[in-house]
Amino acid sequence: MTKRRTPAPRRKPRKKAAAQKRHGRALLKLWFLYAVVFAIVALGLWVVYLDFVVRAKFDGKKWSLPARVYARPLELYEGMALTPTLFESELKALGYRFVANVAAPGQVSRHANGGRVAYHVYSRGFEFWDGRDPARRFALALNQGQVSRLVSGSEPLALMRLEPEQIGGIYPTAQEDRLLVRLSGLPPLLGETLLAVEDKSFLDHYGVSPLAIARAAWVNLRSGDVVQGGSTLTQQLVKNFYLSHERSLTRKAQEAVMSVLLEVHYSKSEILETYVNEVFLGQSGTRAIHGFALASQYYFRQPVSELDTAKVALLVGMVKGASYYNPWRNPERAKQRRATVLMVMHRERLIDDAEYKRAQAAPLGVVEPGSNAQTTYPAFVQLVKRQLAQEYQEEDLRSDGLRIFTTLSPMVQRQAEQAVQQRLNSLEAQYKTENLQAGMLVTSVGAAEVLALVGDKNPRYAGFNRALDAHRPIGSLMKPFVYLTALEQPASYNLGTTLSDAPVTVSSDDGQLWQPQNSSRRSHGDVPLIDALVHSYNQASARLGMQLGLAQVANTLQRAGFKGYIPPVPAMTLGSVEMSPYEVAGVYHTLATEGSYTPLRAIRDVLTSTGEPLKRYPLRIEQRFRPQSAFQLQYALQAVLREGTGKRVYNQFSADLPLAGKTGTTNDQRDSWFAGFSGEHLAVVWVGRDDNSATPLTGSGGALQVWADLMTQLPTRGVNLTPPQGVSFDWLDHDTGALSAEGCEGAIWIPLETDFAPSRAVDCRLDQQQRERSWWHRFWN
Amino acid sequence: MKSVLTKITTLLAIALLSGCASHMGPTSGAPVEDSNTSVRVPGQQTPAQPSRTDNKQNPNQDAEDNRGWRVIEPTPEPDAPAQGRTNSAVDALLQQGRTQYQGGDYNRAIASAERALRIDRRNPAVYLLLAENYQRLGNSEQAQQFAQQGLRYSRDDYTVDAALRGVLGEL
Repeated sequence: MTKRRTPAPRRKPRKKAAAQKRHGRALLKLWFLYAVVFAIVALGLWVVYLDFVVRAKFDGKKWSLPARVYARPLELYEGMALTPTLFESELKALGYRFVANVAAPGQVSRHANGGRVAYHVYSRGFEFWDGRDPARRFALALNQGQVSRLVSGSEPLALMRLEPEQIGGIYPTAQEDRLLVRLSGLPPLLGETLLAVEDKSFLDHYGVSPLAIARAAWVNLRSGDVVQGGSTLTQQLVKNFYLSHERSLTRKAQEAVMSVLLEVHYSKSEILETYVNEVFLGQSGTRAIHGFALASQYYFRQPVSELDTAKVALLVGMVKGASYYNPWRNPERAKQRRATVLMVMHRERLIDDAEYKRAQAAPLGVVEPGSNAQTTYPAFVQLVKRQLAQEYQEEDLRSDGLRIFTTLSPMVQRQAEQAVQQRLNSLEAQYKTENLQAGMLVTSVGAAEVLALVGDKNPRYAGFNRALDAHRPIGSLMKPFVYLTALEQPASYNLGTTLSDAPVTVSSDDGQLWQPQNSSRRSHGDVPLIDALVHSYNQASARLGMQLGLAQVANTLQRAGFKGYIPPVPAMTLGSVEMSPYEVAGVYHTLATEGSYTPLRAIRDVLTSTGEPLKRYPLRIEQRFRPQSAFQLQYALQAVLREGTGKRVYNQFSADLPLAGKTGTTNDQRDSWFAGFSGEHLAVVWVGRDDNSATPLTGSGGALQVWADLMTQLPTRGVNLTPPQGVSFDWLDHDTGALSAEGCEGAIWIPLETDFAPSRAVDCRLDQQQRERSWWHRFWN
Repeated sequence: MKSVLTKITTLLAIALLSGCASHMGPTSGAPVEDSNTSVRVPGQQTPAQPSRTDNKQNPNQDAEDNRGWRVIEPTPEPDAPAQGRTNSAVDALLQQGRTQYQGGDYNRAIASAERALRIDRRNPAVYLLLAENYQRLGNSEQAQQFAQQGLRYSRDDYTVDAALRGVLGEL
């Protein structure tokens, strides 16, 4: 008989336990192995993902570049009207520096000799639509308000174009702004200083520098302050370019990995170039200033290639904290930071002793804050955006870095703004009222280019743009189009044709009555056509308009360029049509060019961000009225200013300068209008209140004053006085419109179409009064 | 008898002079085209116009000697518009535009012409350049418009006038 062996069961659990333990440990090891492998794989995938991110953004379009909007370039030629004040303000706006000896682009010198002022200028050169104008030296003399001499070296220069001023931009939604620059476009000192200050071992490390971190920690510990950063430039770039600014360990790890990846794929120069364009260097309202090139323009209004040692040091110093070291808000701190940077530059032998001393002593050199024109012409830029929107998608405008060249003349714009502000203030004081507002538009005559646009009494305000969007009844501004309709029928009407200014009643089929009255409440009986326009007689004009036909009159306004709504009612002949100053300028321009229509233009051309020509907006003209009719009308509009409702104009102008225009006042004086032109400039002004309530102003009391204030400041040429073929001047009788002669009573001197001259002549009664006083009286002693 | 004769002669003279008066003097003629001459600059004294009474040194004496008669000099024609200065800039641009036109670079030629127009919009040669370029580009509508506009200013320039008419004829 065998006994059960007891030790066996005891051995089994121990073995099992042991085996289990071994098994467990092995399992654990296995799990651990899996975990490690999993982690490695995950890490690997993560790195691959980061690698993708790094490359995708670096290779692709790195930044959304805003579209840049430029004013017209100043073109200089001998004989052109220009004063030293205007020329110098233009140079100042372009960031030219006045020096004793001109040596580099962006510099100008000035010598005054009695009334003559001479300038030596070294221009910067610019990429225009039609090619590159190189940087060049030239000399200019201004004398008696004109360019008396323009030479380059010893050769006379026929024409010289300065670079255009940037006046605005269309910014990406992220509101970042930057000017792209290549490494070769930077002063070498800037790159060297940047490396010396921010990342000494940039050229050697692989993205992350443990040595730098250790060194920085040591230095910071010793000085008790954050004097040095341990981040390489690469890390800084990654932080700003790819990541947010949160500070966490995972983010730091991400940053480190991506930095290394960046270094793996791209060269040092590529990384550095991206860095200099990415670095944040300031905040202007909602617009963030990125990159050294834009920062240079923003703080110094100079291209980065022109910066001297002190300025380079200031900018590099601001990398550490653009707001903290802001030279406008914290000038002392900025100066100290600059001193530190200069010290580093000197220590690293980037600059010598003399240069070091000079730069330390130099002032900060920043321009006045807020003097940047980039946001200062909002009303005009609004117009530009609208014209662009017809052709370009908003998204492309905000990101493709297009360069848009416009027609704005900053000189004229500044003068227009001043005229509006000052005159409105003085009117408010004079009439003891408030809340007057205005809209004003100035264009060139012929090319219909918008030179200036004022949308608000306060021109810096980017709100409601009255020049573009305030649609008001134009009142008497309509009359010239009624009279032009008449003059287009030369067989029936000329300037001497007799019209009746008797009271007029217009009735409609359903019994409605309209009885317009003259503003003086007096009737003038029979008057020559020209007088009715010159003195703005409502009764005669309404009667004439009805005679011609509402459809005809409306058609004239449309042919002149108006595309809006014309109410088909008799009151339309007296201006119950609502138009903005922009639309009024469009139709009055046709009158200023003697009948040739050109759509108003704010843009001349568009280039891509790299300077390739993209699109031109050429001049288009179309003769829409007979030159003979248009000339006669223009003559009448000159008479408006000589003898009629606009005669206040010649209180401020010499009688030698022919000007033309029309006043306009609406019911209750809610709107005060003036549209007037010379041979070169057209300006339209509206003055009124936003709430459409009454003002104390007539057209000549308000808008005309603003117009005259501007036009007296603009060097301009007179209206053309040479009649076209088929028109000649003659004397007509005031009362009958028949032919007359000089010295006869009631003779008026007007242009007539020779093919349609009246055949009848009056019996001339010598104008006794004149003779007696001047001639006859003298003779008979 | 003598005084009556004098008076009759006087009356005849008056009649004659009043007949002639409409053709002389600044009050009777349309002012000469001003566009190129009076570039009025703010703050400048306007150039003194020749005055009819300039040649009188002693009004009273003349009246005494000539019994009130006085000679009225015809006012001198104002100087021809000072074309000289603006022309060199316009000429340079026209030359540039011509070269571009001949090289087939029509759009650039148009850009040059537009620059010239901004300086002087009454120069017919500029309109000619524009018309020819638009013609080459196949835009007969604008070619015609610019040619016709140019004809308004080409009365004094036979060559350009003929060329403009030539362009119009070809369209």
